[in-house]
Amino acid sequence: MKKLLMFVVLALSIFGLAACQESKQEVNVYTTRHYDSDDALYAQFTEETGITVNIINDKAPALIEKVKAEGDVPQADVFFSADAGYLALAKNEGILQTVSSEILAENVPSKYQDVDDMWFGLTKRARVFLYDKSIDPTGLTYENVTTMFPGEIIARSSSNIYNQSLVASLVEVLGEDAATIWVNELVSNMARVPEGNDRDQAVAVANGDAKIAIANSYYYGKLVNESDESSSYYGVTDTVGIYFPNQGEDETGVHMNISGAGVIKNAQNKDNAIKLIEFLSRTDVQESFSATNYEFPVNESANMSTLLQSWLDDQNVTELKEQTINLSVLGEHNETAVIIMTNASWDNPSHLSN
Amino acid sequence: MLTNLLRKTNDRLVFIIMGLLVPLFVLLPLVQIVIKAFGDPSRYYLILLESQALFDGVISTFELVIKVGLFTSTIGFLFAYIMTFYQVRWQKVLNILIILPLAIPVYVAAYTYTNIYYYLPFLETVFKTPFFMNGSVFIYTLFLYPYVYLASKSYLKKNLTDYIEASHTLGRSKWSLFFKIILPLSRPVIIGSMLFALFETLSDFAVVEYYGVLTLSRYVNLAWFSQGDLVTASKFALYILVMMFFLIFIERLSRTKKRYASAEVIHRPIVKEIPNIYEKIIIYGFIFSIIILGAVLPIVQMLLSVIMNYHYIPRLDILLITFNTLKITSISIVLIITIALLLTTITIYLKGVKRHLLSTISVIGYAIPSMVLALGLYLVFIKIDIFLYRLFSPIGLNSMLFTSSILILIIGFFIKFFSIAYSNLISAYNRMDHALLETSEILGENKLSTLIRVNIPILKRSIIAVAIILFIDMLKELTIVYSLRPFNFKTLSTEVYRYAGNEMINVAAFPSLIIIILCALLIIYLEEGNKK
Repeated sequence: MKKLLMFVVLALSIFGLAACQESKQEVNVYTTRHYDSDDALYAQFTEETGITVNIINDKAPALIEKVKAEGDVPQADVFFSADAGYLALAKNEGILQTVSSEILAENVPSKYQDVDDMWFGLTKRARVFLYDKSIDPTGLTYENVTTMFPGEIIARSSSNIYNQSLVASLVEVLGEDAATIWVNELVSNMARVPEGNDRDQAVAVANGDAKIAIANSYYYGKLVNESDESSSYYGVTDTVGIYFPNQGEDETGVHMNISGAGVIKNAQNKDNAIKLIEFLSRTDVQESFSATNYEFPVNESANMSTLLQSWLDDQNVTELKEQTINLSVLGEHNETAVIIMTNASWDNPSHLSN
Repeated sequence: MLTNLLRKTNDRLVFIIMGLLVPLFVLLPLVQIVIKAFGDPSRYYLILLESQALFDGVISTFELVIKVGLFTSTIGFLFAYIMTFYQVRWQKVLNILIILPLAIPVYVAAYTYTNIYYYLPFLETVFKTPFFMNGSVFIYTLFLYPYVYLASKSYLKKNLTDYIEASHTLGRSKWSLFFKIILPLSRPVIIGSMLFALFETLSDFAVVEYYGVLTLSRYVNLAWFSQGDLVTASKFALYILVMMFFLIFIERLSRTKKRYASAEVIHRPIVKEIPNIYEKIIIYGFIFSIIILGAVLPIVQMLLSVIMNYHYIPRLDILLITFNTLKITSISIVLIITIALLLTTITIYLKGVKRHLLSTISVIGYAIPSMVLALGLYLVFIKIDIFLYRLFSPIGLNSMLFTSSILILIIGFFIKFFSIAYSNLISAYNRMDHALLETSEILGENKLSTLIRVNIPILKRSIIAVAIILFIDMLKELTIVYSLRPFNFKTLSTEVYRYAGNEMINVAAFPSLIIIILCALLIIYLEEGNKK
């Protein structure tokens, strides 16, 4: 009897603990982004609005599965992802809802919005070439890189979502057959078996292992500002430059991927969720993304940081030419892209094995 | 009072409940995987089957497992042998330094080594070679051998005195003593502990991806993170599990063939030999080279990184995240050891198939890749939570009981790490004199009070060893904490993961170092404090 009583008391106290969390103004965010700069922006949002931002970071597929399992009592209000393919996936899995917001309509250009207003792009990153500064990269495109620098190209593994999205975008731009040929050509011109992360690709170029690396513009910004002299990343950008491919007149433009956010279906704090996404699209906040996290703003009235601008100036680009695709297709073509990369032995190029 | 209460408790009921509940619990996420794995194969999976990829993946996984298994057991066991049978200088410090590499998560080690190679390129020439599978074998070996060391050391210390004395009397040489007696007798312990190193190797994908080695675990990762192809991921996770079962099966074989029980409970202490000059050169050369590679270099590199990135330190909220880390680990350790003691007690009373089934099921948890385990668990508990929420929200429940608190985290830890406690305690039990237990029962104690009054004091050293391994493993566990934590909950390992994932390994060095320091303190406290 005593034990039963003890059990009941214990159960009640746990229950009470869970129940006594008072209701306050808050917004719950499931995000794949894990940057200090994001945390600083959330703090600024809280300061301005009094709305607390609660964060869980994880990989996108895990977050999407969680939201699906939570059903009509979702634990999060906002889904924030660093890849457009995952935003499309979230939409297809039915976890997002349509948002009508004049502010978002104005701040986010329609090409970075979902057609049904279920997600909104907030920052952009380019998939660029990092090159050995001893060579002249002028006129470099995704298509001609293998002929300009045969056997001198490196990239990280095929499980990297940005590589997958690059290939997916080429499937859209060039068609599946041409994209397959492109991947095969690239793989047979790889200077080493894909290894390391984005920043390591730059290090490999600096060490003379290759002339060209495929990498993310955001990581180049981190390399430029690396202040840790004990790091292998330090000083790499002295000898490694950044080049935005496909900028010529009849060329297709550089591959841009976005980070974006949407409001989760049945969100308990829908209004706060919209407020947060609107806040993140605001001009000054967009400029902050660009200055502290080396990303391109989507809001056209926001200026990109001087560092990012200097990259364009160095290449004599006045207006960055981007692929003209609807970013939802990155999700649609993802499986095709992964299959093309698998068939081409991206992670184990045949000319390099054994 | 407690023992009185225990004497009256119907221990059979407690044991039956535990014996059913724990395996059921551990099986939960596995069931999820199996169900998913039998889903319709995706186009991607079919392509993988057609291509060479699957075959190559299996081959390189085998190569990895064989090499890592061989090297971890050689290094771990030799260290245990040296530290047990020879008088070595600075014994206490060396003991800690030998264990410490285990406190560094393998992928943090891999990233950190990129910086070390940058300073010491000759190491890269030696270890980043095809033989070491582009450096991956080197990393797994160097940072996982302490599993074998810890288990072998506590085994050697206790169990071999009689055999060794007999062998001395018979005038056997040192070599023949080692190869004919010590090594064969220790084989089950070596293989058992090596399994943990292999499980960790098999379920890790970060290091192999970093070094560009195509193993099966990379396909789990690839399928899962491109478009969330859970079916393909589950199929590959299942293949890995099959390999792990194969390994468990081998271990069982090695264990059942021969069993040497020691008659006494209290052993005479081993008389340590003073090494001659040649032995000294070999012993110190061997110990120092491994310690320098596994502990000194990475720790110095991390210290350097902390100094160079000192401006990040205030951002890290280090006190809070350390407190969070200690909170979840200490609760989990107490829970796991308590239940493992109960369940091992049940196991030793069981015979035949039931015994094998119980002990196999209970070690599954460690074999399931964390990523899959975490998600499987979440999917189960969110259902329970929604049910409770619907039931109790009219009377004021306004959040999820398990999934929005640290409860689910502790359950995740339990499922993942229960096997470590269980298998270590089982092997400790097997070495114990069972006549003692019978005596206790004849004297009127029931099994539960025997457990507390007889078994626990005898098993004290093993329990301490288990606590050390659990603590280290939990401190560095990343995926489970990352995927199951409630909102805004940060621990040392989530911060390591966050910065490492953002390609800022030098900032991740600070929380990594705290993890190492905590581990070192615990080892000192438990290993040294306990002797007095």
